[in-house]
Amino acid sequence: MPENQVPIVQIKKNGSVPEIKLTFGFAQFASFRILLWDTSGHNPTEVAKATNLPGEPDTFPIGTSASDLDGRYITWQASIASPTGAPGQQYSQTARFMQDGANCPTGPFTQSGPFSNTTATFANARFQVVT
Amino acid sequence: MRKQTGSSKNLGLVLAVVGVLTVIACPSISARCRFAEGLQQENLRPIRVQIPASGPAVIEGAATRDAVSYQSGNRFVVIIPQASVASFQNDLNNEFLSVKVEQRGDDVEISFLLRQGGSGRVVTAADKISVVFALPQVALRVSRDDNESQPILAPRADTSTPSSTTNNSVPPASDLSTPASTITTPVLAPRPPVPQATPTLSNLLQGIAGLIPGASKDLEASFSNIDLSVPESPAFTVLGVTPNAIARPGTPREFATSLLNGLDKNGNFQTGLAIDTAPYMLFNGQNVTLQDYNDYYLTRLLSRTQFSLATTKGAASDDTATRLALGLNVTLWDKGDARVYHPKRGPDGDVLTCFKANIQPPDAPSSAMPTPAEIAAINAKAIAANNKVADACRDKVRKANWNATGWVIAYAPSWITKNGQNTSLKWNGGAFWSSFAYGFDGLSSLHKIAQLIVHARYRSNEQVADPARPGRFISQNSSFFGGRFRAGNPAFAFNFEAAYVRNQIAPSRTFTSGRYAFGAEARITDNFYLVVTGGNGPGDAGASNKGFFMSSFKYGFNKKSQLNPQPQ
Repeated sequence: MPENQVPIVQIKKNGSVPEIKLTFGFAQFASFRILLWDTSGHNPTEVAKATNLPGEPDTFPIGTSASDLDGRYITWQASIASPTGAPGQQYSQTARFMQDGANCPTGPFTQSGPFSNTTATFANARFQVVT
Repeated sequence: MRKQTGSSKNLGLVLAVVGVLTVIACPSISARCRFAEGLQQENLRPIRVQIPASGPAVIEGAATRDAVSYQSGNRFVVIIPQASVASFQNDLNNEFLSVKVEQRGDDVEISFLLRQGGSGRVVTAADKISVVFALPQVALRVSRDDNESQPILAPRADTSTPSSTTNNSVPPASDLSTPASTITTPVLAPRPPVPQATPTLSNLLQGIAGLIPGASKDLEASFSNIDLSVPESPAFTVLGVTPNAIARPGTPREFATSLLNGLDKNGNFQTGLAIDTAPYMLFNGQNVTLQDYNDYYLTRLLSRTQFSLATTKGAASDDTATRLALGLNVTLWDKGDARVYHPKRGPDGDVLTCFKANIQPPDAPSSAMPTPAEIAAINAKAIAANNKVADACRDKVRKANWNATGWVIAYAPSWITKNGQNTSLKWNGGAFWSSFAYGFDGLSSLHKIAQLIVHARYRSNEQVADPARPGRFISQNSSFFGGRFRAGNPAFAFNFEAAYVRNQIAPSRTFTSGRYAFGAEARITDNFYLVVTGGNGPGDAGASNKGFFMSSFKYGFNKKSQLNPQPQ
């Protein structure tokens, strides 16, 4: 993916460890995976692999400190399935980045559209540490 | 009165002379007329009409893409514009009473006379449509003695009497290629079943069963035909239409577009508009998470509330009034809701638990950030794999929850405007439906095998065909109460149902009728079932305000289960 198309997430250097919150609309089921990459877009490490079922967490800490994230990439992928399987389904996937309990200046990042039965999504962003 | 001028008198005289001359000269110019007619025919698209001995009627040809259909009383009509009939094959289907194929100008009109209370719908495919017929439910029927309308529950098994309409002769197929031809064919008695050639045990038993006096093969579950369902799109039902093109907007923009497309330049509704959507999901679906859906009853209620809107024109050529209906379908309670998480039911009894165990996120990219092509490949692989497991999960849970307790209601008001103006819309009656299904939760002996359904519906100001005066309609208010208890497994099954109907025809004629029926079935061996059915049903009593009674008791042998309520 071209560098200039990757959205930037600005985080504060002295802030707490940032978090990512993934939500899925239209009451659809989702099974997702979040990966953190190095600054060259290699060596992915898994931040979370979970579902959006009731009672399961939807917010996950990213890395160990904010300063370590500068220039690194984060990706989130999801398989979304319609519990009913009815025709004309819609999906919506929103990623919010938070630090110190507040939303980061950029975002949220939303993907949405129609689908039938199941669909799959992929999205990414790059961190930029600001003072 | 305005006085005629001399010039207008002369003009009228000239026109009259030209008209007379035209009539006199007609034989000499008939060849030219036919030539022009032929040119017109060449522009029409050929269609083929096939009516098999059983199953849907099939109409083939590119023109079927533009077909429209509607139901008027007990007629289901399909109109195919810019078409002519190239071939017509009728194997005397007994799912309707007769069929009429008529060339109306550039259009072909195919009209099916339904059994009383029956309905039809169109299933579209590429360059082909199939007309599917539903069995009779509740309807008016003509009393043969006094031609007086008698509201009854029409029994499904009433198929043996040949019914005729306007024309009892079946013309040769070649006649049908002629423009302006009209063919009406009656349906005769059902054909006897073709004997099976494979000498299996069940076939041998079937043969033996045929020797038992009084026993019938393939005994139909004729008692199990009461419609206890609530329409998903009540607006279409209350207008009696089966729209071929239903707008199902997924976004507010699409909804607005659909609505605007249904209005003319003056803001009046055009006919043929059909919209079906879930408004809460349409406008707020992005914010409805599974967590919210599970936590809040109001979210579930609003998310599943379905809204429908339809407009239509009268069926008769002289009926230019526009009818408009709105509809709401509300699920008040559903213990089988697939979006509600029931981890205790396990993956065999809960869709979400099954999804959790089987649906995987897309594969992680290998070691570097993926290119768009790699992302597309990863996603395509995930979708292909997950589609299969998602289908399997839903199918498995559907079978497990076939008798889930639930309650659905629907309401559909309708209006009519004689001149097509929204400002002159007048009340045209409405309908209400309610169905409660009970799965005997907590009763271990019945919970997995039995279901009780209680149904009620009310329809006001319904326009139905007047049996006493063909072509005329009468207004009636009808109430229906029905129930069904069914229980069983593949080895033994039982069914009992009862219904009560009250029809009021303005101003003061009221008819009531009731029926009950039962059936039991036991599997003797694979593909061989002993069936016993009985009950009383409506007959032609010929008197108002009087219950009908027509008792029956049958036994026979079937090749497949008809009563086991559990989906296999």
